[in-house]
Amino acid sequence: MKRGLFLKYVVLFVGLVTAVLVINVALDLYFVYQENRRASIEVQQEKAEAAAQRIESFVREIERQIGWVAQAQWADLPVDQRRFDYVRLQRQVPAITELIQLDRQGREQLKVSRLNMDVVGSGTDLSKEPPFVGAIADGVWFGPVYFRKESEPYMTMAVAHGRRGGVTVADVNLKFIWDVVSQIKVGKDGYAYVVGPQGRLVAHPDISLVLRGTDMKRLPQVAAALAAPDKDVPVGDSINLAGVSVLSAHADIPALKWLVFVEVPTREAQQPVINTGLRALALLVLGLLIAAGAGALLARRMVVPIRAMQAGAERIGSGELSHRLTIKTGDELEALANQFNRSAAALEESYATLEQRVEDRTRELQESLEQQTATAGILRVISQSPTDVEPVLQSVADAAAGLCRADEAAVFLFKDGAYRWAASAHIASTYVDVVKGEAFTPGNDSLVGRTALQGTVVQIEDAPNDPEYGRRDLAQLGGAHTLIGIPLQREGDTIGVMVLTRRYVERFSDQHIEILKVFADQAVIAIQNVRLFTELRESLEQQTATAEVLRVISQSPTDVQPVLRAVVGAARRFCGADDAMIVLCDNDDQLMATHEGSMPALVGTRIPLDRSSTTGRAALDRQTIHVPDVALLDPSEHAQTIELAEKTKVRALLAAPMLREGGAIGCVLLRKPEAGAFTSRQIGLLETFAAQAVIAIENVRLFTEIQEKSHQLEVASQHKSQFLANMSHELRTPLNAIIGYTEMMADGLYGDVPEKATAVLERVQANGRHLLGLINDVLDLSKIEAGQLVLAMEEYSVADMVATVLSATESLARTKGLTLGSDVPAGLPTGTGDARRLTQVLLNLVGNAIKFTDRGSVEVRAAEVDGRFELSVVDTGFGIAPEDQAKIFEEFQQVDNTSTRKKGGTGLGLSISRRIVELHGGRITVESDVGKGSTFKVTVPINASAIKEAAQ
Amino acid sequence: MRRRGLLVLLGGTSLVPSATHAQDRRTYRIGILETVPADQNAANLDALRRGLRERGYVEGQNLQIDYRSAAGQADRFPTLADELLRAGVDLIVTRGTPAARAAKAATTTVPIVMAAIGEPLGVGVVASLARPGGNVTGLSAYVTELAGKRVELLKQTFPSTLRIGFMQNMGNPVSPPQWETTQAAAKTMGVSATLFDIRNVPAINDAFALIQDQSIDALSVGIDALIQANAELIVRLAAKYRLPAAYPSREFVDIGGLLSYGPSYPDLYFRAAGLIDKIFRGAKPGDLPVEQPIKLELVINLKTAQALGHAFPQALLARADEVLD
Repeated sequence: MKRGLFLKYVVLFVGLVTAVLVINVALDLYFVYQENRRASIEVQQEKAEAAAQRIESFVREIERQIGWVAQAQWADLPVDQRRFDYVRLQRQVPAITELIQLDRQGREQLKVSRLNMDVVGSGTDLSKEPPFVGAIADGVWFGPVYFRKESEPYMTMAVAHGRRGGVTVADVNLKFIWDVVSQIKVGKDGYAYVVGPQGRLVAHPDISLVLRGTDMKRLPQVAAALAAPDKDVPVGDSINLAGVSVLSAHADIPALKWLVFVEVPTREAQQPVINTGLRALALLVLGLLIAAGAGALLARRMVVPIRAMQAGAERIGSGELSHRLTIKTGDELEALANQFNRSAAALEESYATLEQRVEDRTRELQESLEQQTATAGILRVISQSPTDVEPVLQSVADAAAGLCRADEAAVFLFKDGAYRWAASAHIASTYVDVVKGEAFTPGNDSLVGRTALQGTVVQIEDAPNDPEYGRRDLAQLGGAHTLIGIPLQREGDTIGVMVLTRRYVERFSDQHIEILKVFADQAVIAIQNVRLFTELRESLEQQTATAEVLRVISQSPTDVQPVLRAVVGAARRFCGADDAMIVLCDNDDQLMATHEGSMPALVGTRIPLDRSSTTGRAALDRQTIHVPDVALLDPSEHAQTIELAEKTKVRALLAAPMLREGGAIGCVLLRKPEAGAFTSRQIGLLETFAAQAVIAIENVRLFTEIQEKSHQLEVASQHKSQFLANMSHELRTPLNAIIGYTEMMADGLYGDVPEKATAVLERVQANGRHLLGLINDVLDLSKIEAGQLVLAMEEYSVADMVATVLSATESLARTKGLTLGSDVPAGLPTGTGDARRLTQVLLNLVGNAIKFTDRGSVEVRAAEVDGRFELSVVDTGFGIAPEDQAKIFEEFQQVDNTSTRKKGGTGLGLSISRRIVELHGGRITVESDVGKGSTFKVTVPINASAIKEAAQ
Repeated sequence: MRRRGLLVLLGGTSLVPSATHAQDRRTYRIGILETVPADQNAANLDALRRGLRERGYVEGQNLQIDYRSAAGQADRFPTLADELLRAGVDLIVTRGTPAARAAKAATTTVPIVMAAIGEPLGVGVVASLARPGGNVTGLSAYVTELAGKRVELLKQTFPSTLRIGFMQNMGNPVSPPQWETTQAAAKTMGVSATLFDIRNVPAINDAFALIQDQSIDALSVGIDALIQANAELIVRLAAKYRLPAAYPSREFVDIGGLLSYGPSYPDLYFRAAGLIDKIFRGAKPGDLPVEQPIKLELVINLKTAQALGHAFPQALLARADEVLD
């Protein structure tokens, strides 16, 4: 509230008074303004009229003065007299600068000037000039304003000397009007000025403006007055040359067509209004002061009791509920105060109960918060400790004891057939030692046993005095009275029990039991987590180990030893043993093949293969033998095992046989220096490793076999090629002799041969040549097969090569009536390769083409494509069926039909050609349509030697 | 708090702008570049001071006048103008064409008011009368036209005159047109005209000797610094040689010259104060038109006429603005 109400009252009051005063003043000012403006304008209009009169009378005075000499007889006076009169006239009227006397014909008789020399009787004819014409017509003539040297304002006046006396023309310096204009006073800062008919300034208090030839038309009031000279242009607000706002009025001088303006600065004209305004303002201020005072007085009377009420309410509000207001104003305010008092009383009453409730609620909230915090803490511990259950149980015990106001807390877990201590809180270490040694079994005897048995929460109110409670010794040792046990359950099994004790008698509330159940659940979750995590880790380890062994197998196809080492290493690492070895069966012996570990063993040692040793037994029985403790073995059955174990200080053994096709080839053995069973997981893993070892050994055996076989094949193939080469050579020598002699006989070297014999000789010769070709081909092929064909690299020209081939086959083609042609572009590069062999290939292809074409043409084409020569032999022969196209390049293959058989040939040509081309790093292909012809295409690198070297 | 607010409200009413124009406190420095020493120039200076005083400039209060006289030697004007500018004057008042030209050459920024100049057009001082331009304005004296009028007055006063002499310092750029006007007037009046060009004091004495030798009947004297400075000498020599002489201003008649016709120089000086005031109030000199004389006065000295043994004709007496005896 503060001063709010007080201020509001005062402001309202002052505002009201102000509004009334302001409206009053505004109306007053408005009327004063209007009145003043009207008065000012009237005054100015009068001033303007007066000024116009004064200026006109100034000019009329000059006219009157001139009229003094302007009499008809005057013109007849002697010139000296006239001159004297003119000089005198100038003396009297300083404004006249020059006087000219014109006679009645308008000729100049006399000129008297202040500045220039007088002229007498020049007789210049000025009868047509406006001054003469005007004066003769009207008696008086006023000329327009003109400016000498563009600066000094002048006006010409002419006055007639009666009806027949001539004219006097006077040049009047209008600067003299300045005196008149300057003397016109309008108010304090008002002034008058005269404007000519063209708007040019004629007279102004500031003579500079006149001399500068100021054009006044740019002022709106002047422009308006000039535009409508006849109309009475209303006086009004305008601006002057200096940009000051003025009140302007004007009057005209009809005789001169001049306008006289009178202007007063608006500010000055409105001074009375301003004064009125100031007075009104003073009145306003006074009114405000009075209103403020009155308002303050009134407001104070209202505000004092309200303030008292406010203070009282504040005290009640700040908690002083017993405070009561005392206000005796006898009006609504007093009623309000009483209402306050009643409210305060009611408030005081309800406050007491409310306080208690708030306290209870706060405590509940506090506890709830603590629980949440504890739960969150445990969850955090669970998430931070995925592998170890201990910290979780510890924090569960801590939190349970703290939250349930227990003196001690402990957690027992089921392990090895009994519930054993796992974690505790607030228990003395000596007591812990005792509890650690306990193994509780389900039963009514102990609290743990009882809880496990019932599978529910069990509470013993006062243990030392409970007749059913069997372990009073423990309770007494710990000084415990009230006990509670909460089962930790997983899928219906009680896997542990949480116990809390109090050293005084007080049952745990239902609320506490709920909290403890939650904690128990959390402990179970943590235990689950750890179990799952451990299982996952072990599974991963196994997979890793298996994968490792497989990797070694794949890397070592020929040698079994690395695999065996890997198996031994993996078995030792993943099967929980310090020491591992592999024993192989070798006839009636067992041979220690690989060993890794800390215990003594001698690789290469042999022992007899029989059932008295663990390994022997495993191999012979073809099953895994598990010996958790050597000491428990029957000496009659396990003589060797016991003997060896004593020697090497071995207490536990595990042997897995390595089985192949029903028989064992050996086994993997794990040894431990202390007694203890291997887990089923470890046993399974070892069996896997044993199987893997078998695979590896098998692999190596198969691999070695294949290698030997392929070596034998290779040797056999070489023998065949060598044989063929030798054979061909041996065949060729006698055949050459046969052909040679037959030829000589046919040529008649041995005398004439009878007709019949000649035919026989020719057949012998032909068959001999055919056989020689066949042998040569076989020889080539065998050389190629034996890897003996070596290319003789040299530079060759494709064009030459094609020409050679064509010339060799030309006669053959001609015989068959075929067109033999070639298309070899000029500028092909020089190739490098075995030219003779390549020519052989081309010759073979062209020969074939001619051979298998009966009509049409055979053409050889050559081209360079991507660094290779492309040589094509195109014919229009029978063509080759698609299914035959692949076969024709194989040895001893010809397309098997009657027509080919007719054509003869060894069937080796294309095969040899293919080999030669391939030796050059090229390819030979065929495209053909049956009945239309074939195209054989040979592609060889231009520089075959580079290819060959690269290949080597 | 409330009380203070009220005071502000009341105070505000008394702060309604008043129309009083407070004269600012600075002191204006005017430099005067004159042809003659101050004691010879008292009438003009008094008129100037009076004009300034009427407009609120009072020497010793807010006005300081630095007076520099060339004492008739026009070639001293440039030095004197520099001297004034160095002294830091706000405005320079000049007399005559050489002074105006020297001031204009010395500064293009400090305003120059020509209290009197023979003819400002055509001598490189102003562009036009209506709008002079630059930093110069002032008042012109019609000297060219009036040279002819003086010949006319001499011939009227002494109809027997046949040979007229024209004495002037032709080194002053304003002079040649005067000589031309004089020659033209002489021709009209049917008399001969002879030029006596004087450029230093000895030349004045020599000129009078020549006048005597050449039987010159009457003398027209032009206006120039040298002539002003040696007014007494010229008037004395004219009296000595009994030579009727017409002068360009009344200061010559005051010390015994026969007659003068010309503008009232004190009036020009008085009006110059108006121009100075406008400039001090912020007007640009180049925007202020050069004003022409309003008042031309004929002053005659009866005593001198008597000494010459001659009486002024009636027409002249009637015309004279002032008659000294």
